[in-house]
Amino acid sequence: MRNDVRYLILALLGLCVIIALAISFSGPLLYSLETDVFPSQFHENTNALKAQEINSTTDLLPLMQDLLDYSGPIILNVRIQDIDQARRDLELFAKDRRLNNLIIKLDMNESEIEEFSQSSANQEKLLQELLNSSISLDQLRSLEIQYRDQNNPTMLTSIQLQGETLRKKIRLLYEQYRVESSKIVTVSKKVGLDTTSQEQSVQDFELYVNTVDPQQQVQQIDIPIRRTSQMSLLLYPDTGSYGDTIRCFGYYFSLYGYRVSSIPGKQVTLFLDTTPVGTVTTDDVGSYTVDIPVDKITSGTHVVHAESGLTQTDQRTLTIVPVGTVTTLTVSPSRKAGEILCTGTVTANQPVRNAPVELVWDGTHASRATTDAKGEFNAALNLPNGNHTVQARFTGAGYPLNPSESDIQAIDISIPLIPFIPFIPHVDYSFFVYLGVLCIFSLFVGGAVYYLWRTPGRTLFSGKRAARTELSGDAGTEVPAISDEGTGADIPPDTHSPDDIPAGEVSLFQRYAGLLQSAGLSEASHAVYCELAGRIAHDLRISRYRVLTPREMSRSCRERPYCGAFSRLVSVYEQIRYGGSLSAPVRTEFETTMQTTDSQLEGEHH
Amino acid sequence: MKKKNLAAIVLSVWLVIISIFMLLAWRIDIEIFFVLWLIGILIVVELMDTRFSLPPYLRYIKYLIAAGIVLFGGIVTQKILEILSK
Repeated sequence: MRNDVRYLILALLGLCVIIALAISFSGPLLYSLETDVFPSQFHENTNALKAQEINSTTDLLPLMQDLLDYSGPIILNVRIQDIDQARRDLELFAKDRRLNNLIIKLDMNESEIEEFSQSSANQEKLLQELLNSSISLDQLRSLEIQYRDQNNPTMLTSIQLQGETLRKKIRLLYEQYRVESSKIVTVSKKVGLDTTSQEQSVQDFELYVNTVDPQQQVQQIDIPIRRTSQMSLLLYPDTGSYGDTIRCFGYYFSLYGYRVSSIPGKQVTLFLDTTPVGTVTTDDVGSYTVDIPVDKITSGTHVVHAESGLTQTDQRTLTIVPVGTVTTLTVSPSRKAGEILCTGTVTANQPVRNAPVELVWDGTHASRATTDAKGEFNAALNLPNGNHTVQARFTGAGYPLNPSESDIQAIDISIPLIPFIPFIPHVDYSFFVYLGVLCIFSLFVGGAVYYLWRTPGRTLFSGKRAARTELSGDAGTEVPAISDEGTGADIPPDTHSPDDIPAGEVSLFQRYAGLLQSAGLSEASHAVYCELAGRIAHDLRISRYRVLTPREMSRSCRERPYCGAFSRLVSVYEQIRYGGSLSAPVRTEFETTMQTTDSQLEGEHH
Repeated sequence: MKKKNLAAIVLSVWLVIISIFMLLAWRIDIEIFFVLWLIGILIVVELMDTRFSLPPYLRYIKYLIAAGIVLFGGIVTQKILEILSK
């Protein structure tokens, strides 16, 4: 195959790879439902699994039908006031996790079955709240009868307000339940399940809501109010939110016929619902003032009145409006191993003071912290090694504040390489870090330089020595030996090199003469060439001069003064070595050029 | 077949294999691709290197590898800085 064709195929292959990368960069489609096949057990198409499992009548459908049938009886029992049975049914409903387990097992997290399961879980929570609200409503009814008997208008009003709140909540629960139920019915009908029980439960819920709804009730609380005209009460403002201050003030006075007389020095206690929030004494003109800070007061409508002995004011209504909150969290590693520091704030247009904050790590473990006067909280958590997530949650329970959560913070807890020593002062190590990083990068640069300059077969630390040895012809050489005395006929030619004899002791010509007598002109000329080539290679820093032919060697020294003599020597050497010309004129010419080259080389070195 | 042609084909096949596996894993990472390419070319050059001679194409490849090593050092340094900044 021609080189052009090879390169063309190579270029086409590369082009195909680039096109495939470009096409599938955003979202490569490896499987499709239309052409789905399973070539081996290692291939799984989750989309196909979802489609298959939806049609399965053996595993999923019975579980789904069970979940469908739970909610109907629970609502019916709530409606007929059979609370115990409703609670038992709800416990069974809550414990049934078989569908969830199957979904996790089959990795169907984004399927309609997962939506069904999620709606079912939401229904379970709604039913739990409905049950609790129903119980609370019953208790309120009992209390209402009790306070009516006691002729206590304050408590009756308070109970009436609480009852209204509960009814609103039940109505809201019904709306949410209806939405979740419609989702469940839609999915169930798709897979052919019987949804009668589910639809019936919605109707039962609606009937229950109508039963408890105050608009439908004809019950009116007839409160025999015990009025007094001796003490007044005003609130300003009568609506507030977290951080506001409500001023409550009034007068204590007596009526004498048509005259009004203020009474100073009377102790007046102010009540918020049934809780006393302050006691003051009337001043010289019989007036009193109490400030109520809106702090830990639940949102909604509250009843405020004042009492002084048997004298009571009229009841005033105070509305507390809920406010949204923002919770922040910052997580930083502590100097103590395994410990992290959590700091953050809870604000609702202003700092939320002395409020409890939950620090939840890994979604399962919780720890508590409390905000200070600035709304800030600090807490240290001890976590095991590994990656963790931490989140701060403010529930708003007891406050006129909506709950909020911080962003989830991730942190890696690992064992420090250097154990913490408390008496070492904190030092900024960033300079050393950058120096270390620079050193590492320099190591790579050094490695790259070494890679370029290294010689194959040569180690790093014996490089110079090995190079010198190679230059002197010791390693792997085929150079015949030159006797140190010039008469070394008994020395085998392949066991010595010219460098075995120190250059300073015996001259090149003497060694040549000795080898000429012992091994002949061819070997002697070769030995002379090897030595001169070695010296020239050393001068020109040619490391692989032995792989060069004599002519290549002569060409490589063109810029040197000895090049002419060496080229002539090479020419004569080729005649002797390769041409087999061993005549006296050739020998004479070789000796002449040898001496010329040798002397010029020595002159160059000096 | 000449050594340099064989080396080019082997390296191309290696890069195609890397690309296919990256596609299968839905993870296309240019850094991993580069490091695997560097490993491949280092092995190929080490296998085709000669003891006593250095052909020009091999010398140019070695320059390329040296640049690759420096770039690899840059990637390692960047990763170290990323870890330290966490």
